[in-house]
Order: sequence, then C-alpha cells, then structure tokens
Amino acid sequence: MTIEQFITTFLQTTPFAIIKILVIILLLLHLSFSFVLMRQTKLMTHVVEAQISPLLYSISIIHLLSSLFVFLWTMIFF
Amino acid sequence: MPDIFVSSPTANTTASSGSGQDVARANPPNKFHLHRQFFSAYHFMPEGMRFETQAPGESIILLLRRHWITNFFWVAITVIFLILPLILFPVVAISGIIPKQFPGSILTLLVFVWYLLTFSYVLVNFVLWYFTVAIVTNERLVEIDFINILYKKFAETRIARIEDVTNRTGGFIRSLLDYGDVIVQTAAKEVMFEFHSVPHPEQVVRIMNELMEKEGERRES
Repeated sequence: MTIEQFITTFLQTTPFAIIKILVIILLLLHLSFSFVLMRQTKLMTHVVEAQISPLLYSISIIHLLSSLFVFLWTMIFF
Repeated sequence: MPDIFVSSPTANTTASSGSGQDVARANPPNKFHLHRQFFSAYHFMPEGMRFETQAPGESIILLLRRHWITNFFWVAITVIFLILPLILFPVVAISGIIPKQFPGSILTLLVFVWYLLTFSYVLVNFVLWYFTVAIVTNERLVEIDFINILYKKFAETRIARIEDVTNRTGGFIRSLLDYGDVIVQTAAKEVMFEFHSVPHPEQVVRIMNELMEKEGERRES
C-alpha cells in the first residue's frame, strides 16, 4: 500500500477522527495563545499601570479558562 | 483648555518642585472625569496612572491613545461575529449539511469555538489599543507602542531635546472628530516621534510647546 492509498483509505474511513484531531490541535494552539496573552497582559499592566489594569488581567485569565473549558469539553464530549 | 502653567487662586503659593505640580494644581480632577478617564483616548493630568520607568517626582501631563473611532473596524467585525451564528447555525442545523456520521455535539462545538475566537479577537484588539500610549510628562516624552502581543517598542526623549512639534490632520472624519497625528522632531539625528490618530492634536501641540518654553526658561535661569 502506497502512502497515497493509505491517506485515501484513511480519509474515506475515518473523516470524523481527522476532524477531531484537527480541532484538538487548533484548541491546543489556542490554549497556548491564551496563556501567552495572559502573560503579556500582565507585563503590559506593569508597563502602563492604571486602576483598571487588574480588571484587564482578570479578563485575560477568564479568556484562558474559557479556552481550557472548550478544550476539555471537546476532549470529553466531542 | 486651561493654561497649564497658571496656578489656580486657591493653589498653595509655596515653591513647587516641578512644572507637573503646577499643572496638577491648576487642573483639579472632577469625579466624573475620574470615572470615565480609564477608557478615554485623551487624558489631561490622569489620576491613578503610572508607567514603567516613571521617576519619583515625575508627573504625567498627557496620556494619549489612538482615537476611539480607530477601533470602529474591529468593533464592527465583532458585532458581525456575534450576530452571525444566530442566523448561520440554525440554517446549518435545519439544512442537514453536516454528515450523519458526525455527532450532534458538533454544532455545540462550532458555537464554542466561534465565540472563543471572537473573544480572543476582541481581547487582543482592545489590549493593543489600551496599552499603546504616548505619554508626556513634565520631564520627557514617552512612546509605548505594542505592535502586536509579543512585540513592544519603547522610545523616550527629554523635553529639552525636542526641537519641533507639528500636527497633521485632514479628511472629513478626522476634522469632524478632531483627531490627527502629532509629529515630534528631536535634536537627535533622524529621531522622530509620531503619535498616530490622537484626539485634539492642536491642544497636544500647544501643551508640548508650553512645556518646551517652560523647560527653556528653567535652563536659562
């Protein structure tokens, strides 16, 4: 079996598995992006300190938790 | 627009330690101003704000961001992103486009992912707008530019080194909403500060010219 035949068979038989793998990879990337965003927001709040800086940092944490929630939900229920 | 170097009649007449304190006395903040200033693009003598390299005794006279209208594009896209699933996903569910072998939870996943990406889009754009600032203090000029989440540009110059301040406006929207670019030329070769799309550029130039005059007088005396 050549690689092309293997890929064709794989795509024909298990399209859902491929989609699930791609979605999980996407969500993992998003999770890491959310973590970076949270860290950078924390750094930014040190560069320009305002009274709403803790609020912005909290929102970035909520964003990270949302990303984690969607990732876990996909792993468990999808 | 108050004159920033004229003390109010009730101001303390003892010697001040810097022009920033003169400015603070001349312009006492009111309660309404304090509540709405955090999301404003033009802060004159902002209260409760500091920046990373602020020296003791150094006071912020102006804190500028891009005018709120410059956020219109991403806000409009966000609104579309928020509304679109309400129309699109019921149509997808009814039309039966999704193959039968996929589980029913795929639509829920699509909704989750869609709104998660929208949340990211809003947060990134807002954070970049909020933290990209130009700061004029009684001693220097600071430009903090977040080009993207991972890349920051920090530039500063002393007020004494500023040679020329100009503003550039033009176009219907800019004239209507009174915003434009402020260009600051310094004594150093090819060093130029550009504050893009800041509100009230003429006032910014006027305040900076007053600061330059004050600095010149201080150096002469």
